[in-house]
Amino acid sequence: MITSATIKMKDEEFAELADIIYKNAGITFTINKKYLLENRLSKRLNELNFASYKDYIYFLKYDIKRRDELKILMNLVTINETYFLRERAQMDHMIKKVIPEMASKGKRSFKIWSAACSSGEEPYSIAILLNEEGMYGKYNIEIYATDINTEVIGIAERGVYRSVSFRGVPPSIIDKYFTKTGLDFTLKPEIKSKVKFFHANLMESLAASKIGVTDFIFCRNVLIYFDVEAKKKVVDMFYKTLNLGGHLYLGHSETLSKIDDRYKMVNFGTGIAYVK
Amino acid sequence: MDVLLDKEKKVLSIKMPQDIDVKDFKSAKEQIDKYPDISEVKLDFKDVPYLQSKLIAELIGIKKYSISKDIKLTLTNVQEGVQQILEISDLLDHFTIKRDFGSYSPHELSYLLLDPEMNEAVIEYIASNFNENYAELLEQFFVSDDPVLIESAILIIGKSHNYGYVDRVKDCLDSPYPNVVRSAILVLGWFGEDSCKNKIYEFLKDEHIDVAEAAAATIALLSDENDSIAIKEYLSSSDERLRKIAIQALSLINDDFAYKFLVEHLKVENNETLRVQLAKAISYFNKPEVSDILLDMLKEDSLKIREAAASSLIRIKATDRVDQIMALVEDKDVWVAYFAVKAIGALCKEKRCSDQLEKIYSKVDTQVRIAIIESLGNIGQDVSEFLFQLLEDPNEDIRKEALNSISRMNKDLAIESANNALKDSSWVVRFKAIEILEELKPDGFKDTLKNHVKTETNRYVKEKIFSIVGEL
Ligand SMILES: C[S@@+](CC[C@H](N)C(=O)[O-])C[C@H]1O[C@@H](n2cnc3c(N)ncnc32)[C@H](O)[C@@H]1O
Repeated sequence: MITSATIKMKDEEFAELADIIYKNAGITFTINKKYLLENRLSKRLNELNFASYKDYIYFLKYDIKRRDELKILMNLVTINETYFLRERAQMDHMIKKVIPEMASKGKRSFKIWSAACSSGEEPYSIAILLNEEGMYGKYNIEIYATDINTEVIGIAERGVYRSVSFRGVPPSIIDKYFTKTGLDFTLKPEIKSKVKFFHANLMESLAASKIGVTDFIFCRNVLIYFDVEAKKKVVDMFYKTLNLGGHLYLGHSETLSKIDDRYKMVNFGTGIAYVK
Repeated sequence: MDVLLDKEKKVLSIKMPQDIDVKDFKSAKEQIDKYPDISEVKLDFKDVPYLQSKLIAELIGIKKYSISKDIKLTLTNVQEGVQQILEISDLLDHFTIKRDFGSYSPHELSYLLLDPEMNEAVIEYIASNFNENYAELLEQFFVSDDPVLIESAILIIGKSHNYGYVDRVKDCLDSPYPNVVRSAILVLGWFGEDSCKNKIYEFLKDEHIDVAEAAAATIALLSDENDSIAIKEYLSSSDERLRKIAIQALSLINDDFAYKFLVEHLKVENNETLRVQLAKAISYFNKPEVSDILLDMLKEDSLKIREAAASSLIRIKATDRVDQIMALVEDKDVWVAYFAVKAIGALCKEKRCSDQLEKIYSKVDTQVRIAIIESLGNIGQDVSEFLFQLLEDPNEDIRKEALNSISRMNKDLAIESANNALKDSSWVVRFKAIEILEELKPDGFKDTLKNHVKTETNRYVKEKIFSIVGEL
C-alpha cells in the first residue's frame, strides 16, 4: 500500500480547499503553499479512501459529518509552532510594568487571554513568569487560553513537553517548573492549574463571549496567516472584549497599521503593545 | 546594493537594502539597462522589513518597466511586513513572489530550518546545492542536540545522496529522539544499506508509530524473498499495532508471498480498522482474484470496510465485474454508491452504463449525483443533452461538473456553455469555465478573459486568469 505517497493537488482543488479553510478560520493559503496542504492532507484522504482532493471537498461540503470533518481539517492545516518564553519581552512588560501600574490605581483582578495558544507554551510561560514575580499571592489572576486546533488543546491540557519546546529557556526555570522523565518534561500541577483551555475559532464572535471582558490579550503569530479582512474582524472582536486601558500583544512581525486605528500603539523599547 | 548575474547571463538578482528608498529603485532600473540580454530580474527583499507607501509607486513603476522590456520580474524573500503592504494595496496578485534561498548564509538557513513551514523547502535547497559550507553546517547540526536540526541534517544527507555520511546516519539509529531515528531509518533505506536491516526490524515494534512505519517502508525497500516470510510472523501478534505495521510492510514489499499471506490473514483478522487496511493493501496487488475478494468484502456489515472495498474497486481494472459493481450504485450507504459510480466511470465505455447512470440520477443523493456527472464524462458517450439541462441546477458543484463533462464529449457546446458560465454566480463554476476555455482555446479567448477579469471579484479566479494571460 502506498500510504506514504502524497496525493497531488490540482489548482482547482487547491482554490476550493483554500476557500473552505479561509471561510472557516481566516487562514489564507497562497498557491506556493500547495505542497504544504498536500503533505498534510494526503494521509487523511487515505483514511477516508479518497483518491483525489475533489472527493474530499465534496465530503466537506455534503457529508452529514461535515462539521466534524471541518475541525479535523483545521487540526491538519494550522501551523502550531511555538515554544516557552517566546517573545518574552511582552510578557515582562505586562507583568513588570502594566499590572503594577493598574494595581497602583486599586485594580486587584486581572484576566489574560492567550487567543491562539497552540500547545500551551505561551499561557504557561505567562503563568510561570507571574509566579516568578510573586503575583499570584497579591492579585486574583485568571488565564484563559484558546485555539482552533483541538489536538493542540489536548496537548496543552496534558502539559507534557519535549525539549524542542524549550529553546533558550534557562535551565533553572525548567528544573523548577517541570519534572523530567525520560524525554518528557511534565509541567508541575501548581502552574498547570493556573490556565483554563477551550476550543475557540477567532473567526466566530462567539470566541470572545466564551472569555468575557478581559484586560490582556496575547494573539501572537497567528494574524500573519490571515488576510486583511480576517485580521480586521478578529481585532475588532478583541476591541469589544478588552477593558478600557486593556492591552493587546501581537507577534513581532505583526502590526495593526491600516487594520484598526482605534488602538493606541505603545512602543516600550523591546516590543509593542496596542492599548484600548 | 548587491547585484548578481547568473552563469547563463539571463537572470539578474538585485538585493534591495534594509533602508530601501526611491533611489534604490532608480539604480535597479539602471542595472537592468546595463544587461540588455536578461530575461528575468529578481528583486531580493530579504533584508527589507517594511515598505513605505511612497515606494509602492516605485515598485509598480519597475514592474511596468520590466514588462515594457519583456523581462520577467520576481520579488524574492519578501518579509511579512512588505507582504502586508502589498496585500493592503491589493497588489499581491500582481507580483510573482518567490523564495530564493541562495541569498541566505548557511547560518541564516539553519535558522529557517527551525520554522516548520520552511523546513522542507530549505532541506531540498541545501541538498541540491550541497557544498563545503553546508558540510560544515551539518557538523554543527550533529553536535547541536536540537532534534529538528539533526533530523534536517540526516534528510539533507539522504536527499543529496551523500553516501560518505552513512556511518553518521547509522549512529543516529540510537538517538533518543524519535524524529531523528525515523529519518535515519528512511535514509538508510534510500541508501540501500542492507547491513542495517536486522536492526531496523527491531523498530517495527517501536512505540512511536512514525518510527514503526518508517521501518516498514525501509524493510520493503531493502527486501528480498525472505522478508515477507519474516514479517508474516508479526501478523499473528496479539498487538494490533504490530499487525497493522506488518500489513503495511507486506503491501509495500508486494511480492507473491506477501500477497498470499495477506489473503490468508484476511480470513482470520477481526479488527475492523485492520480489515479496512487489508482491503486497500490487497487492491494494490495485480492479481485476477482481487476483484472477487473486494466484492466479497462488500457483503460485510461494517460500513467502513464496505467503503474501503468500494473505493478500492476503482483502482483495479475489473472490467469483467461491471455488472456486479453497477448493482451497488444505489447502495444505502452514500459513499459506497459514490465509489461504485466512480468505478463504473473508470471501467466502462459503453452506452448501457451511461444509460443506467442517467436513469438513477434523480433517485440518489447530491454526492452521488456529482459522481454520476463526472463518470458520464469519463465514459465518454455523448449525453450532452442531459448534461446541458444540469447547467441550470441550483447546486454549484452540479453545474461545475456538468460543464466539465460536456467539455469531454462536445467541444462546441462546451465553448458556448463555458462562455455563458463566466456569468455564473458561483466562482467555482467560473473557475471551471476558465479552465475549459484555457484547454479548448477558442478564437479570442484571451481577450474574453482579459475583459472578464475587469469585473471579476474572486481572488482565485483572478489568479487563474492572470496565470493564463499574464499580469497587469
Ligand atoms: C504559530 S501558533 C502561535 C502560538 C503562540 N501564540 C506563539 O506565538 O508561540 C498559531 C496558532 O494559531 C491557531 N489558529 C489559527 N487560526 C485560528 C483561528 N481562526 N482561531 C483560533 N486559533 C487559530 C493555530 O491552531 C495555531 O495553534
